[in-house]
Amino acid sequence: MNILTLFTLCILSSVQLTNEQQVAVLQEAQLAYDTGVSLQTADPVAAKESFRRSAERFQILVADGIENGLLLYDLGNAHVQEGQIGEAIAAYRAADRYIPSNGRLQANLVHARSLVNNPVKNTSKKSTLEQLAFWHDSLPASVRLGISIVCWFAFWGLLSVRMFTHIPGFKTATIFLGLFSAALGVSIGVDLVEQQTSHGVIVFDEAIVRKGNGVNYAPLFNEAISEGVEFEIIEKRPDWLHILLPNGSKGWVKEESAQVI
Amino acid sequence: MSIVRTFIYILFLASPTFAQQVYVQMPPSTGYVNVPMNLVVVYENIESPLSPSIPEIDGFTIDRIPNEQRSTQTTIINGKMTRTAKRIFTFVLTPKETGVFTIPVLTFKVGDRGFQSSPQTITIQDPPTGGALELEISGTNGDVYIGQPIDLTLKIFIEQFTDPNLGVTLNAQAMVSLLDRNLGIFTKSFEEQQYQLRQIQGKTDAGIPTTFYEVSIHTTVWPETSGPFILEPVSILMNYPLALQKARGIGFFRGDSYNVTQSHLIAAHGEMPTINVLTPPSKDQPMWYSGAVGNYDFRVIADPTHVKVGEPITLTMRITDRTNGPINLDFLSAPHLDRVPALTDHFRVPDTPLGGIAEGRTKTFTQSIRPRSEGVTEIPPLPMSWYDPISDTYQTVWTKPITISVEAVATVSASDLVGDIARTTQATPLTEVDGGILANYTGEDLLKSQRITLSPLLIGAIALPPTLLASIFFILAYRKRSQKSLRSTKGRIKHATYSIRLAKSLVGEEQVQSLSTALRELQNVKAGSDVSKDIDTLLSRCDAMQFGGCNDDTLAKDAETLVESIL
Repeated sequence: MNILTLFTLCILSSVQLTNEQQVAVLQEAQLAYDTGVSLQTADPVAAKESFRRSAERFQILVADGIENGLLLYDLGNAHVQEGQIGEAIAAYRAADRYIPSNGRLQANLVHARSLVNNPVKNTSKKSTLEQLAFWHDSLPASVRLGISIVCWFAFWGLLSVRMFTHIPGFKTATIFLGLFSAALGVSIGVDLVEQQTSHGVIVFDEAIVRKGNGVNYAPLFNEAISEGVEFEIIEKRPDWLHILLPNGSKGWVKEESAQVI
Repeated sequence: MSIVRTFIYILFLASPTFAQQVYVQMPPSTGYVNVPMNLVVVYENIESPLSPSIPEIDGFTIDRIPNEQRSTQTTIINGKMTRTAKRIFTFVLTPKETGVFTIPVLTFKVGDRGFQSSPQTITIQDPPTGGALELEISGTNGDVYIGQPIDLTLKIFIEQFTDPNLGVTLNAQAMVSLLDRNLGIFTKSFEEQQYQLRQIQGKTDAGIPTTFYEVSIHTTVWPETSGPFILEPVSILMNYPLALQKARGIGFFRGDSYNVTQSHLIAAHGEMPTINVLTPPSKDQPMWYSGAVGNYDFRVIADPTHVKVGEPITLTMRITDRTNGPINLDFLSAPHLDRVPALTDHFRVPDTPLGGIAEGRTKTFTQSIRPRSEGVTEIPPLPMSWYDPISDTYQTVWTKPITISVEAVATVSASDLVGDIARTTQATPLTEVDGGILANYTGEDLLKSQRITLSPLLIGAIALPPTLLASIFFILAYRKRSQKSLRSTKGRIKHATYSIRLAKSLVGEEQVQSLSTALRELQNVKAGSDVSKDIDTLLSRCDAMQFGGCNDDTLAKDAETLVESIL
């Protein structure tokens, strides 16, 4: 079956790819990427086209419901190579949810951000809670979930054993295990909430931030914001997003000019 | 009386008029074989159901357009309001052959009334011309290289039309307006009216000399990938006119204008030239070559020129296209300076692709480089290479060297502190290059979804430990309570036994009272058991002694026997 047909089927009728089809699409994506790399010197235009094709195929898999950090990382790489910086940052940020401590991902995200023409500087400081919860961003969700479940079982196991016999250091161990499992549980809960999309990236070359959700509202800045600028989403309305920029400014952008992570 | 008559007259003037009428708009008196003509029947101010028909007419095939049209018109003239509701039925008459034919008197009935049309004589001829439409596509043919433009010209030849009855010839612009707007890759230029018109002499397919209007449309495309460049063939449709009618003039100064009353569709088809897009050859390709094809000018500015080791120097590279004709700098890349050994020996050069800014025929790129060591005195000549398809060679221009000064950065090494340590070999520190992206991941692990979901299994796993603990707690509590209850029962039996044994040493009322109390306690503990009846019997004997005045010497002994059997 043609890849384009597969993609159309995925988008329009929510048809799930079979495992064999997923493997075939992945192989095509990786092959197109490798072709792009080999053509970069001899034929940059063909290389770019190859990277575009690769990104399109990785996107098919993501659209099919596969949320995998490494897959999203590869998608981001293909977007960087084809020059779509905004979409690349969006893919890397999405990958960051699953593989936050991956060094390659962090390096490439830093690189993609460095390619943003006119970045908006982050002037906000991290809150004490964010500083204390540094581990939330550095441990993958699956690891946090695993540790949390182990702590949870140990906590209740200790309580159960204590009913029959005396355990030295029972109180301290129980408090620590309880706090650990609660904190990790909250961290996983935050992840689950964040999966409901709360961030975005500008993907148009330039996007005008307006004071309201309509083209008749005046622009918020004299300049347009560049592709690759990241933001938090405060509110969604039809065709418009209410956004919070890293410098603390709040405004509205057209939904089509951004990619929601 | 005259006032009443005046009032009625005014009422008559002001009231709407609803005059019923049927009339027929006949087709023109001349027509062409196989070119349809309309016969229109108009009913005014008639609301009853209608289904008009006309009889067969010699020389024509007749079809009725299924739906009727309705319109309402209200006019007020000198206070008199006239409202007209029209229902329009259209019959399509298609002439089958040449000759003179007559549409007879047509009768249309509405209720009891009949309305008649006048007869109409129509002369049918062969069409004056079928109209000739030809296409010709010319331009780039054969091989081109990526980055080179493909110029294509579409020429449309339209036969001039002259109405034989009016003697009127349509001008070129009017004929062009009858063309279909979809011209494939030429559509945009055509819609933006970027075309030339001229009148030329030529011959029709039948070899008849005639005048043509030539429409030339030019377009340029840039191939993005190598291989055969496939363009869809162009097919053009045109409503070629067959008959004209003078339009009503609006305004005093308006000249004559004509409407096309009859036309037919004609088409022409043009094939695109075969074009093959090539990539520049790899033989003799310079290392820093970045895909440019054509002819370029290359200039570089460096700023600042006084820096310390490791500080950035921004190179601004301006590449100007020196060819003629249309350009598209979207795919023009800066040379790969990170592959110029003379530069990378003394400077750290990122390998990131640069995004340039195009303005006119010039594209500007900026690149940061950092000197690796002090003593670097110049930025060496920088190359820009392109492939020249005319000479089939790579051409390279070099900039002039740019003088710079690089200061050392003060550093204190460990050896300076320790003293004179003999060094066998001096290790060159590895410097990591900034920028660039790292390699992809591969393998089917990429297809495993890592999304966290609150699955029933996860919820079960979370709920299991507290549920287990709660179960254990309840079981233990229940067992504890049961044991306590058992202990309490035993104690009460013991107490009752002791009281009964003690009662043996008592006499009379005191003995009966003591026995009764002990037996009642025993009764509470052993309610529902086998001995319950025996206890009841003993209690009855107690009551008989206590309230009936009976004497029962064996009561105490029987009670003791009972409790011993329980114990």
